Amino acid sequence: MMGVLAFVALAVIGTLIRAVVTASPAAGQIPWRTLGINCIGAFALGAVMTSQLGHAPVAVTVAGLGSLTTFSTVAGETAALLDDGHKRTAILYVGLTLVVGVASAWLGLSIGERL
Amino acid sequence: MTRARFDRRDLAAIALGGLLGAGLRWWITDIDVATNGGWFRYEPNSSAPAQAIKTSPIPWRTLAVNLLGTLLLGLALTLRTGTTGSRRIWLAIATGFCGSLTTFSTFAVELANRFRNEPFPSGHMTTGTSLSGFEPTGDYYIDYAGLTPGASAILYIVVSLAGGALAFWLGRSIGKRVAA
Repeated sequence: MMGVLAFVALAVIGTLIRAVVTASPAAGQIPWRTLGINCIGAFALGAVMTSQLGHAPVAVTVAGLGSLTTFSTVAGETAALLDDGHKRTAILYVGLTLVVGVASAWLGLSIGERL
Repeated sequence: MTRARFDRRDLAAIALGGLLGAGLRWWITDIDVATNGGWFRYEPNSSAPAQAIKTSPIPWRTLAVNLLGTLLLGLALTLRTGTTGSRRIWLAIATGFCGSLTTFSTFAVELANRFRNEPFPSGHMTTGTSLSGFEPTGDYYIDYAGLTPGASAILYIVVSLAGGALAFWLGRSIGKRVAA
């Protein structure tokens, strides 16, 4: 029961933080806030997964960090950039999301192992 | 830079959509998360011969939720209208449900696990909480159907990017047809 409540609470918190932070990105620019939130979430998920402090509950990994980060918003933002003719910015955004996102997860996994 | 203002009802709609999205994602991706570093810790400890855990080079379930949410967002974006009531439904679906159904953190960790564990991620499994009951214990290594982890990571990236673009385009095409 506590697990279900924690799942609900963290899914809602993760969703709302993402919604407020990523709302209305500036037109024609890299959506830095979405990129930031995805990288923070990837780092945190890596860290809690390898952390020796204890087993990470589903509420934290799947509900909290899973809802905080998003794939569909990146697709929507990239499509909006392409629609407006910002082809280079769109490619740069997808590339940065991949490279910095995976690097963040890697860093999290490595730091988690030392905790 | 204009910041969208959400009132309480907007936030409630987004939260409800997000909760449903997260719940559906948990239900769908449970096995993938388990085999990709989710429910166990890496504790190298090889006294007994390690057991191969066969898994797909591509975490299909994670890919499925990401493509499903992207398709639905493409569809929702074409059906957006201006009225207050439908705006909330739209927020619940696009921002809440699609945003939470899809995930970047799992995707990034799955990729990082593949890139950093050459040739095979190995370790000792401890039990965890899994819907599917996938909770093996003992020493193991992960076998990505014979592919190296690096090759499976590249494959996963290519399929996710191409699939994401295709799913969004498909969602939009369906939406335009429905709206017309």
